[in-house]
Amino acid sequence: MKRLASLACLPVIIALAVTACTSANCVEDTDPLVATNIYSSVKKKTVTCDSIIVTAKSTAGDTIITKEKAVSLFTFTLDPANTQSTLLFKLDNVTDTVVITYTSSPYYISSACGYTICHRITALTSTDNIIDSLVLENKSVTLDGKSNLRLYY
Amino acid sequence: MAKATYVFIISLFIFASAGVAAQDTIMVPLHLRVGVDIARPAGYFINKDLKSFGLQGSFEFSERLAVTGGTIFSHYSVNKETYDYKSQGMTFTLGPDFNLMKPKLSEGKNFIGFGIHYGISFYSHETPRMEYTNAWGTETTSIPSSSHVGHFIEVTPGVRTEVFPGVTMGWNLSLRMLLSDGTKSNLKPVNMPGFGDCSSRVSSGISYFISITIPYHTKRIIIKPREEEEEEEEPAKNEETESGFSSGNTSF
Repeated sequence: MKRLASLACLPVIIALAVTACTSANCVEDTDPLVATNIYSSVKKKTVTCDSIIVTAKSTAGDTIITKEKAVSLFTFTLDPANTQSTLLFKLDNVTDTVVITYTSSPYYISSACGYTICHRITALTSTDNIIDSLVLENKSVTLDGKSNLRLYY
Repeated sequence: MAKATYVFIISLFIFASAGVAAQDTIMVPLHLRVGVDIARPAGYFINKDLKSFGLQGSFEFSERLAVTGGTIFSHYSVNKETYDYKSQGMTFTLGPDFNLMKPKLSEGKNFIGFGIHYGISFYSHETPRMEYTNAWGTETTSIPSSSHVGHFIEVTPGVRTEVFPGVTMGWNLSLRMLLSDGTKSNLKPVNMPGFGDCSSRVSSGISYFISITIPYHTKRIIIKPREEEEEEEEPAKNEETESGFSSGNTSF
């Protein structure tokens, strides 16, 4: 009986320990972000802008999705329900319209976080009120945190 | 001269027979084993999302080595806030089990050791609903059912003992490493049958087997007694001391 008891108890203890170590909460990033570095079109080096506001233009109305001050890098999300996103970049109080076309695909993160939607940028256009050019550096918009665009102004 | 030769031959026989008498012989039965994993159906009471059933069989080649094969049927269904997911399939594992116990202690009835098994999982999965929300709004979509073949390696440390003649009980951990989930895409399985959540390359589990064992052969094992080993070691120690190896620089 002693032998049976020791056989029975140990795996229960181990199972409880394993269960205790498994997180039920989502602790990971779930939003694939388009990371954009700001460059000086004269110096061809990264520079810090005074302010940047990114507004999402959608049929439901305009929504501010990014608002930063004194940054050389900013990020924003794309519309997961469409294959094209129209954004307003208000850079140092001058506004340009940026249109990004892309494909989307679901991506499984974890049991706790569920799914997200990643993108692959296929086309990029912008007006030139303050933006000199917008260069596509990395087409894949995923959770890897890599830089996607270079904004020259 | 003839008398001396006769005495020499007789003494050789005496020494030789003394040597054989000093050896210990034990008989170890080798078994065929077939078992059912009771941890899987019991686990359903803790996690209602997973229904699974496992069988395992092994063939002992020697007192230390057995080949073990297993099969697991799994059905997983989960409804979470942002997604619903289903998967089901069959998993097969095969590989050697190594008993680390000395034959004299194991007596062919006890096992403390580990196995190294290759696993192959034939499964299908689907996501009937997934929701993703960001600043733009919410996208709700679904991923249709698809079939895949996954591969993994598992190490299974554990113990087993005979509780009644012909019946053994024991448990083992399963420490698994994913080789491939077979999807070739970003859509990793939330639960690959036999492995678990594929968002991580490693997973763990526990099995608790009740098995029936059938002895098919009895192996005779000759064990060298301990006294002889000690006697052989002692002169070696003396040699080291005499030749000056105990100077104190070799204590690392």
